[in-house]
Amino acid sequence: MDLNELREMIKILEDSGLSEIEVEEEGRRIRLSKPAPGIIQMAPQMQHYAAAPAAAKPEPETVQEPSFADQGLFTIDSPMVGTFYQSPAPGEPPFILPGDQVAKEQTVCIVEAMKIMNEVASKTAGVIVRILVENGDPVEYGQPLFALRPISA
Amino acid sequence: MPPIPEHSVSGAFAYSGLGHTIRHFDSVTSTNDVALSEREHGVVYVARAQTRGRGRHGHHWISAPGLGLWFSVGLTMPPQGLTFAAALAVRDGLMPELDAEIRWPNDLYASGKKIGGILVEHRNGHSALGIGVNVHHRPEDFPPDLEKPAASLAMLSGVAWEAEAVLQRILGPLNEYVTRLQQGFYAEVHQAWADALGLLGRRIQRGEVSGKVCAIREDGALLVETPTGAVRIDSGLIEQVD
Repeated sequence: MDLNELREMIKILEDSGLSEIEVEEEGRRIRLSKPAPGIIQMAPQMQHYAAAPAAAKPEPETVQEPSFADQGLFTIDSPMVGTFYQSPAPGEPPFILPGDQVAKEQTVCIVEAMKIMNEVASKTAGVIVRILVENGDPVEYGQPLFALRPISA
Repeated sequence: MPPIPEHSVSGAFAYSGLGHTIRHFDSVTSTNDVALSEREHGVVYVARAQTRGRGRHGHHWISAPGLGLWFSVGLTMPPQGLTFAAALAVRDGLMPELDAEIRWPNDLYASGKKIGGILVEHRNGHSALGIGVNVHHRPEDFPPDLEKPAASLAMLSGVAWEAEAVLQRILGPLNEYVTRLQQGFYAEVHQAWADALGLLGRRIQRGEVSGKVCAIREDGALLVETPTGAVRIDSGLIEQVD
């Protein structure tokens, strides 16, 4: 590795959201790091469940699928951390399926946590385009559960 | 004659707490269903039987006619903390005859047997707080293949209990705990519930996960310390190892 390559690496590190870069080449290892102000190292035992995924992931070069908003779609998001259920009880039909039309405030699923069954309602009238999670999946606060195409009144 | 102060005119003695109105049903799908569709605050719906009584996502609750107390309270408030309030209220209400314990997340046990359970459902700003207590069951009234061993108040205490009296005994403390939640004392109710569990520092097992409970989170989930880090447990059956 020559000086130019090292400069290149420093620039990549500075321009990126990364806090550390390590390169190993022909038995030589170079590690660059920069302080990340404002980031508090969590206690190690907390990381397991609260690992902030990919906080410093570089922007992928590939073209991303257009966002739901770009496609004119709305999402119905989880109001809480919990478990996603498509039907009122096991063995019963799902509240809705892709292609179904939903009215404003219609129940579309249940998110359960700590024995609180939260019925999630659609904030807008529309047609369900996609269900974004599987029945029984753990879901996060604000995680999109459904994509729907709004019906203009 | 001086004017009568307004508060005395509007019924100073009218009870406005939970259970100000109690509606009885012979058989309903579930009392929570009724509470969620009626959307009334403080009204209690009692059923002699439920055809679709349920526990945590679809675990069927055995609600045979006349044997237990199955009721729901309709509440125009968010659901957070209601399961804690309910568990504490049932425990308090059964004292001193019965020393009930709260088992995470929300079962009521006495002498190692399940005597009751709680399920809160929430729809558009309205919550249904459902409570089931086994009152009159004899051992043969329970199906033999129950996941958890069950018992009734009658079986455990040897005293005759009236479902209506049990209801009133639960509603008193429930009204107090729910009022605390409404006043913003969530942390206090949570703490009382967490203390009642007695799980902090204990070793538990759930499936593959085994370790010491190092925290009971604000939402009631357990944080378990394992050799590979802390794991959050927010559902399922747990087993206490020590």
